[in-house]
Amino acid sequence: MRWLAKYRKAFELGFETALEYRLNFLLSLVSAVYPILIQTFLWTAIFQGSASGEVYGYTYRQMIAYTFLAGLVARIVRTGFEHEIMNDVKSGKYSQFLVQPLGYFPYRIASFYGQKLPHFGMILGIMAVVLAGLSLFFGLTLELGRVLLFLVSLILAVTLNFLIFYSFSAMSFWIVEVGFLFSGIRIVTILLSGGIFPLEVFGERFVQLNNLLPFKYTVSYPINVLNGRLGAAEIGWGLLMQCLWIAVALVIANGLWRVGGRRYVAVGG
Amino acid sequence: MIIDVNTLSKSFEYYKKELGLKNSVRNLFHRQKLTKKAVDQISFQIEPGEMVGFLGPNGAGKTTTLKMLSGILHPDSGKASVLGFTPWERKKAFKMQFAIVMGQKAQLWWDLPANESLYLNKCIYEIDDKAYAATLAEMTELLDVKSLLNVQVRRLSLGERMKMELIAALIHKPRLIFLDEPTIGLDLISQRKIREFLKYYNQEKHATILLTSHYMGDVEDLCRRSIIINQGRIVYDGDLQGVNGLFAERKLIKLQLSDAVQPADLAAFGTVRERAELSATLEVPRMELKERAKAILDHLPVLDFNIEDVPVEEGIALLYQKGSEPAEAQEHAHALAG
Repeated sequence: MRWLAKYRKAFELGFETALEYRLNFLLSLVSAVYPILIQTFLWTAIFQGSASGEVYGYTYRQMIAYTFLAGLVARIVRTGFEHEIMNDVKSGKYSQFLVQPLGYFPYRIASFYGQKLPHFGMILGIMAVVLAGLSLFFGLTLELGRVLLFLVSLILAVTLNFLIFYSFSAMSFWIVEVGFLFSGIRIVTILLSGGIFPLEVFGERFVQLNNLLPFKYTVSYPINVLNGRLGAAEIGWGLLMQCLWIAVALVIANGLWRVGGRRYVAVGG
Repeated sequence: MIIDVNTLSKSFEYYKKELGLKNSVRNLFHRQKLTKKAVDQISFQIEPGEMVGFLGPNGAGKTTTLKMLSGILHPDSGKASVLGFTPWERKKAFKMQFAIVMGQKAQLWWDLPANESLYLNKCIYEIDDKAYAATLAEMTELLDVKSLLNVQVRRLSLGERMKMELIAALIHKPRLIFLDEPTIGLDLISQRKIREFLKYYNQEKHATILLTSHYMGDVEDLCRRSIIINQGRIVYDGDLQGVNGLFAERKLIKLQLSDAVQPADLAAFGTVRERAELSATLEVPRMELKERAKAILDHLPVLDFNIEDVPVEEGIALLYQKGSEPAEAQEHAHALAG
């Protein structure tokens, strides 16, 4: 298993980097509080104006719980390596990976998991506090089984989002400066994944269309596992879909990187 | 044969933009696509244990060739076999046996001490602990950087960093090493240290080394054979000293004088290359060296007298200028000398 050591080392380096920049991460969490607060006020106003006490099939409590959880889950699955990949390709540093017996994909994913682990720990800690608050003040009920399934779906969601963005990163081979494009893609995918509003907000047709895409399995689905909106069958189906999309994304990423890699020009030095 | 290159070619596409806003806007709609032939049908062979210098002006195609031979780039056409592999297939067994060092590109992690990066390479190349410790001890000893292993890379001087880069590249004991400008920007002492190390490595480990450098000293000192490339084509392949043999054979006579001499009086004995108040350098045809030297000693107030070869750089500079055809370069050399 000596070949595994290199990826364990990449995992460790990712882990160390995340710890090194822990303050940066915590500050980014603080900034995530801001949109959550705005949305909370927004929903409060909307619900006050609604006669039925339900908006898009959500009660006020469910909506607030969703808003909080979406902010945190979107934060957990969020990537950032696409900018590193862009820089590797742009600056020619990617060459190094081509001449060493080191797979770029396993290296990236090992380093990504390494970085995610401390984030995971920190966010799950915060989430525990939020959930305790939600169940105290908003009557959210939690079952242990659901919490465990939520954790499983969360790990799959992190993996799926990694693969989605790894596929997008291959654009670096075609377009030199893709930083803004990545930001645009991130906004659209957050919206499509249900990271801001519950997907029902966008209407029936949108939901049907979005069902054909992988994005909702990164944020919306794990939350719905936790908050009890999904039945046992739907949860099982969702886990299956997550695995299926991971397989599809693997194939797409592989193809894009194979084609893109041939375009690589290894600039400089 | 360790490297066998056969009519390898690679071109790059690029765009041209004229100066100014108007042309920027025009470029949005229509861009003129241009092709540059970086490497144009080159062929050569290298035997195991050879140390070969790869010379050429900037943009000649040296680095592009190294990138193809190390599998970073796919060629447009042609074949290459390196260590028995086709490099751009990027087989693991191939990668385990060679290394490439680019003087202008760091592989060490900037914020970490060098030994962290070295350890990462140990893992990447699947080296066992004992071999790693032995190689590390030997190389840090030779390059005299043992005490710097725990220092953050960004705090090292350029020379120290380059030595660490070399160690990182050689930690898996490659049989073949590509070095792209390994001594660029280094002071003379560091340059010499690195040269000594490369010489030692080549002789002791029988490693094959292909080296590009702008410093003629590197190549003169290290490589018995040089391949000179210009505008993507090989213009010379052989002994570096033989470059001048391509041109008219000429010698330099350096003089120290006891009294000042008029330029016209000097010119009577040969082409004046340099002249100061009490010294001069004259260029004379080799065939007439004896007569000219005698005449100089008879007619000029000479204190000291030296006969030297024309520096190799000059022959190479002529090759660079003229580019493709050595025959043309030869004519050019005659014209200059005449």
